Amino acid sequence: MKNNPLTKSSTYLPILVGLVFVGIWYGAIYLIGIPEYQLPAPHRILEAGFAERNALWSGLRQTTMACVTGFSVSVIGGLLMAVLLASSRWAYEGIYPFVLMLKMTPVIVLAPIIILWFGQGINSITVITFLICFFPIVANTVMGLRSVDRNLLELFSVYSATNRQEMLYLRLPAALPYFLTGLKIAAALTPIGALYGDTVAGMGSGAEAGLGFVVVIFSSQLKIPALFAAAFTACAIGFLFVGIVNWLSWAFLHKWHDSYLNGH
Amino acid sequence: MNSQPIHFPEQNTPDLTPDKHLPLVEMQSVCKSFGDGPVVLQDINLSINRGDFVALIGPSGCGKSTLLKLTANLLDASSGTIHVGGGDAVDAREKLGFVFQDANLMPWLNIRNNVAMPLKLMGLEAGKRHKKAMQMLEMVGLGQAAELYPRELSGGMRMRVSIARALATDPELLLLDEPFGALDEMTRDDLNEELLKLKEEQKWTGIFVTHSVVESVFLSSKVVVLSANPGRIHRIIPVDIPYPRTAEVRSSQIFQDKVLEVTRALHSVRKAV
Repeated sequence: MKNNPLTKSSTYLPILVGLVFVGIWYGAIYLIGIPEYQLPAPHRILEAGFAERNALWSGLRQTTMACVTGFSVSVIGGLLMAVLLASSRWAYEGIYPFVLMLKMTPVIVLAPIIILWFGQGINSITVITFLICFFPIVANTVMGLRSVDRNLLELFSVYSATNRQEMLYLRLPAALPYFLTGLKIAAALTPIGALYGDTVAGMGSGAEAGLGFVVVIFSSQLKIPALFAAAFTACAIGFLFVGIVNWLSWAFLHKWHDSYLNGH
Repeated sequence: MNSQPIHFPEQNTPDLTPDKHLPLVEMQSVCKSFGDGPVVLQDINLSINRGDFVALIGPSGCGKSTLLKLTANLLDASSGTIHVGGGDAVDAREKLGFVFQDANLMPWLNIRNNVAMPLKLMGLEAGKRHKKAMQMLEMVGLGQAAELYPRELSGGMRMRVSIARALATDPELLLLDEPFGALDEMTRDDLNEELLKLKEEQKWTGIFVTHSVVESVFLSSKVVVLSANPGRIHRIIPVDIPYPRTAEVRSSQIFQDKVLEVTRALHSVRKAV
């Protein structure tokens, strides 16, 4: 029984709470009599999800694609930008204010400009996702690259390490926990960026409609159970991203970093 | 690059006995102040022979760590010169090992890779540097711990790793900045004895900063007592107890006398402040 996952509290507690939650849900519908256009029953949502599986599936594919591309570009771009900002005082003082400016301008305001430049569709959606994910990665990584232990910097200077060696063997590994924190924040923001991008820049027809656009359609058609099904599908994307980043974080840090060694 | 001896104009084969008057480190009227701040070190003249093991001791704020960092060229002197191995401190970097106050290991690297890092920075290929790192770890009795991470070791073990790392490049000059200050007394005594053993085997020259009078007498061939505000050399006390010194030395009369002499010198420095 020792290794049975069902006996672990981290497994059975969420299942238990989930069942209680579904119970209250049914109770609310059948005892209080909440109408379906306000809160559909769980089985109705499953039915609607099955009925609309084609729209949901292609929406999921489109949105996941935008998420993966936008997230990847912001990870690579964010890392490179952070290295640039941390490599000289001059770069930091000269460029960082503009990165901040980009962050301070709400994406809602930028969206029309982005659509103007990149057109309606996946390109604009990816750019919007990128803009939302980029900053947390840059800000966290720069913080990590700049807060390296002074004594370790002195150690490297005792051995006349080059700037490149210092970046590769000291600053980047030391910044890894910060970078991964940025990644976690970005991962949680990714579906928000892609879905929002979809609602403003999405293409409305068939296979090209992302999940955000599907939501807009269901909402306008008052397909309430299907709307709930779409919400759960979007939630799955978030779980996928955060799950991947949590796994990466574990893989990189569990052997040495305090966050994994202090015992949970 | 590690096996080439430093070239001496006076002599081709370096002689490692301390009494030959061929200073490895030569400090001439060294002064140091940070910016417009007070003078930290004033008029330091000190020559350290090959094979010497010199202790720097003095009240806090006397600039002993600063003097060590000047020697390692981590800081620049405001005036005066420091020559290491006949050349400038810059040239001597590759011949230098530095042991920091805390073990100063990289938490993300295992012990072996921590010890190999200086060799990596010098461009030694992976196979060679790992072999050397293992050799150093075995020398400090940590061959079994090579794959562990710094977090998994005790304070004393971490310090051993730090010493193994500093010695991995076969330095001629080992600088130690209060290396055992954070350890309990028994661990400190053990490490003191081990350090002397390593010195017997490897014949390096050492300069170390300490707060402990007993440690300074046990390890060193001369104790440099510094006064504070500004830091100056108050007295240089030779410790003529022959090496190799073992744990029993600590209970000998001559050792006790030296401890007393250094303690008195320190006391007069404190009163002067």
